[in-house]
Amino acid sequence: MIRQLFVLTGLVIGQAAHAQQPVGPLTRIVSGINLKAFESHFRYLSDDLMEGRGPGTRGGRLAANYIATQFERMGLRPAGQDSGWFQPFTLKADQVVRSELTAGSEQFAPGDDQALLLWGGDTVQEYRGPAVFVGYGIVSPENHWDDYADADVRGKLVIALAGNPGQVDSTLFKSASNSNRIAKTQEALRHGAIGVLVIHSRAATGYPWGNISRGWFHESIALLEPDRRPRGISGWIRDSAAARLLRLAGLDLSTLMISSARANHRALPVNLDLSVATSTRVRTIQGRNVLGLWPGQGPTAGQIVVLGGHYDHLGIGSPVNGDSIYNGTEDNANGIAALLVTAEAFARSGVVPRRSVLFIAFDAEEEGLLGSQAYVRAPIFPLASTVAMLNLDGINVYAKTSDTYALGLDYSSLGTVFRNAARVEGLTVGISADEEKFLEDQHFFNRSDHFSFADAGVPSLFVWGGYKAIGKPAGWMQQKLNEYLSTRYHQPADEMQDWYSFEGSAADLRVLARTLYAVAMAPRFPAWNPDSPFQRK
Amino acid sequence: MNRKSYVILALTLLTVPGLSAQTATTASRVAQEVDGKVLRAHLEFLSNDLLEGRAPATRGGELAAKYIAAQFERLGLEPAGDSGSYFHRVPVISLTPSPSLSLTGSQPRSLTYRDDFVLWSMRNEPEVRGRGDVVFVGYGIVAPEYQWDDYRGVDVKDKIVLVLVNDPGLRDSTIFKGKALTYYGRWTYKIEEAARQGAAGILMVHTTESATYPWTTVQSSWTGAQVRLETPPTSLKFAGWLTESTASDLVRRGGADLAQLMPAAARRDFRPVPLTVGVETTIRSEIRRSATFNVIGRWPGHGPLAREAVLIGGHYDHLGVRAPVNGDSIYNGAEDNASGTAAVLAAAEAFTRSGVHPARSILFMAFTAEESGLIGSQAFATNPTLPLKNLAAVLNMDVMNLYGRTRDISALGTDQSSLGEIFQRAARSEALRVTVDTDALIRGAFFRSDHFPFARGGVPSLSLEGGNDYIGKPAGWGARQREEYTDKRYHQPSDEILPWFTMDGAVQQVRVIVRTAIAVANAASQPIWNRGSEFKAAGEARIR
Repeated sequence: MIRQLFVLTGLVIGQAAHAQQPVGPLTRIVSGINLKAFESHFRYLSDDLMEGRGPGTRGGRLAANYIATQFERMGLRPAGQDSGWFQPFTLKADQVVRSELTAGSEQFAPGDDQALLLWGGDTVQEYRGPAVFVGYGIVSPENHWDDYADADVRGKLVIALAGNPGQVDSTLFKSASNSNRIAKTQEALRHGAIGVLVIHSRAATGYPWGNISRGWFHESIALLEPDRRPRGISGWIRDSAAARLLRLAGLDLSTLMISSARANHRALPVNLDLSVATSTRVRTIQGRNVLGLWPGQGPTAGQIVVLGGHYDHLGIGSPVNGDSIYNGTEDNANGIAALLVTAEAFARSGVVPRRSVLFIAFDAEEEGLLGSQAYVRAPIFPLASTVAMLNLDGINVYAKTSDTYALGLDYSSLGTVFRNAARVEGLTVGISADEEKFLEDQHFFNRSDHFSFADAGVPSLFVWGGYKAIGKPAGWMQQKLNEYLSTRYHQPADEMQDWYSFEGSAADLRVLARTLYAVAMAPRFPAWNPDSPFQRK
Repeated sequence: MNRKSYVILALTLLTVPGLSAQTATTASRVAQEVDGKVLRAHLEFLSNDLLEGRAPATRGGELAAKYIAAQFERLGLEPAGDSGSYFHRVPVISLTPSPSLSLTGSQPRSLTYRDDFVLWSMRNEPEVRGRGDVVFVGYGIVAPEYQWDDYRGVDVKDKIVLVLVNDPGLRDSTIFKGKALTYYGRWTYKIEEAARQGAAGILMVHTTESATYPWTTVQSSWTGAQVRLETPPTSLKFAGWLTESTASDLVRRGGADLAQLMPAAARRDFRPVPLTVGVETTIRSEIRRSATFNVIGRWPGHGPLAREAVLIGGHYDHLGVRAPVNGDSIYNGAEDNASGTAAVLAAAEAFTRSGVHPARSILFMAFTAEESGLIGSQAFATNPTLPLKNLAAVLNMDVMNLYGRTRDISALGTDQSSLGEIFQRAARSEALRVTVDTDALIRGAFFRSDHFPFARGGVPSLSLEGGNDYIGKPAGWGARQREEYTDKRYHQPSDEILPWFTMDGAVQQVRVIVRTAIAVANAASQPIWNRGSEFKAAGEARIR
């Protein structure tokens, strides 16, 4: 009811503004959004020749060059490092290349039985000797818990259960911190151990062994940071394999699981001739964000509105049906195409805004928002004067809709700006409870580059698009989204589909342009709502 | 009937004085939109190492072609290639020959490949054998406009013709165009004429003066993979070059003296000389077939002349990845011809930004495989997506001026057709003088870029050149820059963007090109070849 009332007022205001200024600057910008251009960028960035745009790869560099070329052509100002188009940053890629565990003549297979890595280095670590079973391997004064009491683990390998004793007896343990593998490794090394083997169980971790074994031997990528972690062995052993290993030392895992959840339990020696060898190979990757500025003029020209989207995808990977190129057409060639045509509509409008608009194409989003992380850690323009961030990651290329949506509408005053813009375009804003649950279950707000900005205190929106496809049955859009997630998302099949329609894209881009322009021109800073989980830092 | 009345209507309109003034303002509107940032951006993308030198039928070539198509699509140009796409397919065949050649007759002699001769197959077959008696046909020219026929009174069917390259003007400045090379002097012409005459093979006599390059150039250019358009066979089984001394020996064994035949061939009373010597050859060729693509977009004209077009083109291919020089194996071809491709794209963007639609359409074309011998443009001229009679003019851009603003500008072909006058006027509107590059005329530069297959097909054509008179630089500076490019960067991996390059000169050039294009596109009738041009006959045949 209230929403509908808003719609009516919005329409009236929108029309009034329209009548006064028939060819105002905003109209020039909005009419400059070029769908042909959208389609051409979309197609080129999706092409197999872009090889999935993996960070640091040939295809990734080509895509970055393409974006920079387009920024330059349309007349944006280079806004990267040293007045160039790029902001380079270094990524560190770790890959476990050796993971061996034997007890006497008994072998434990990597992947099937165990998964070990070497912390903090790229050489080999070898250990031969006994182990110590340390219960959960937790020291937690606030819970009056110390699994290392009276134990001497110096120079030895420790074996610990996953999880915490509170999972067995809820009266025992109040807080669940310090119970992941990282914390257990730190604790073991602090006590002088050479490392830790954590016994996996589905009950304690909440996920099956396969979740560990599948990704363990793949490369994992993070921002390069000074690594102050002590060096040591860290890894998992599957519960069935752990039972077999402990049995060799005359111990019974199920008994230990019960006794470990008792406050009075003590560490136990595991007298076996264990032999452990791990090594991790480390390489660095050069990532690069691409930045172009549409400069404002006047006293607030130093304030920045960001429109971002990631251009990277997964590169070349394991083939599926003979195709090894992960094109990332909807993730996120379409978002970058949208960013480019929006940038051009602004850059070629001849309009001069009050605030400057910064267009950023992020690298390495798929590795964990690393490009946007790199930006917020070393921003080219201070975050304190960065007023808002709008993010494009996958836009509607399916159908024209009567509505639109963005994630984060309720977190900040940007929500009102977006809703107003949608109204002027005749689109409703609002989703059903089911659709909202879907977005929340999938944690979408935490899954793309605007999150890096929100987390750093910058009010942010994630442009999402509508659900009510015109001329389609109810639920059609949700079904298309589900279909994408289950059959194409992060697969080589995420390629150009011949049934795409760009009418919905056009409407969403007009709303985006209006939102962006309003934020660039409004006298006031956008602000987080008081009840938002995010606030200015 | 219908067509005729359209033409009359157009003529009437264009004689109204107001309209030519309007043409001038629309030309200025388009010229104003030529943007140095656009030029630089495309130049940077296309000449980047990641484009791997843009060789035809390679990854880099495909990246470039798709890039250009994406830009045409972005600009809203209509696809004007094959079946509604931006791409015009060019089937190419690559033959790597291993030939033998021997002289037959009373004193047989077997010759040494590369040292004495260079030879390649004219058939698309793995093994070709050829033999026949040799006939010396002088310059091998049939040119009615010069009352010249080197094949008079001889039937060369099943014969091997021995020809001189260049034209008789080399020895007698009163005939042909004197030292300026006509197309009759080009080696490609010699082969085409021999095929028209039905010869079984052709051997060309190399001298450094007549060829304008040394034997080492023949060795490096006509050995190894020979890439060409895949076309139906002619009577010719093979073609090749002989060193001057090998040719002399052959003629002596055939009962004559080359030293006497050479001056005789430059006289109008020359007659072909059958020799009492034969040759025999076997050529084994390694064959590879592939396809590469021209990229074509159309900015539609306005009104009844819209089915006709003016073509603005330049080749996008270069040499690819080859033998490293100073550790660099990527032949970027920044000047040759990422710059010309960027210029085509900048010209297209100037039209779309201005919104100006002249009467005739403008075709924007990026040619492939120019470096392998004008293959892309030849493919289009022989198999065009619009009839050549509807193509009013071709404006080619091959190597732009990236060195700075000039007071002058130049083009190859200004002496050949009424396009010269139109180009003059366009240059004047940009306050530029038109100069003539006489060295280029002697080298036959007009026959060496992509406008040329169109000229041969009868379409009036120009190829843009830079000026010499650089603003703010001493006299001779431009010539020195060009020399340095030719000596140090031309066809080398070092043909890259240099930090001091500027787009200012190229912007001047593109402005003149768009003005020329608009003038042609809005004119009542198509440009025509000048009297005495070797392309006039083809031009008339085209319109008939």
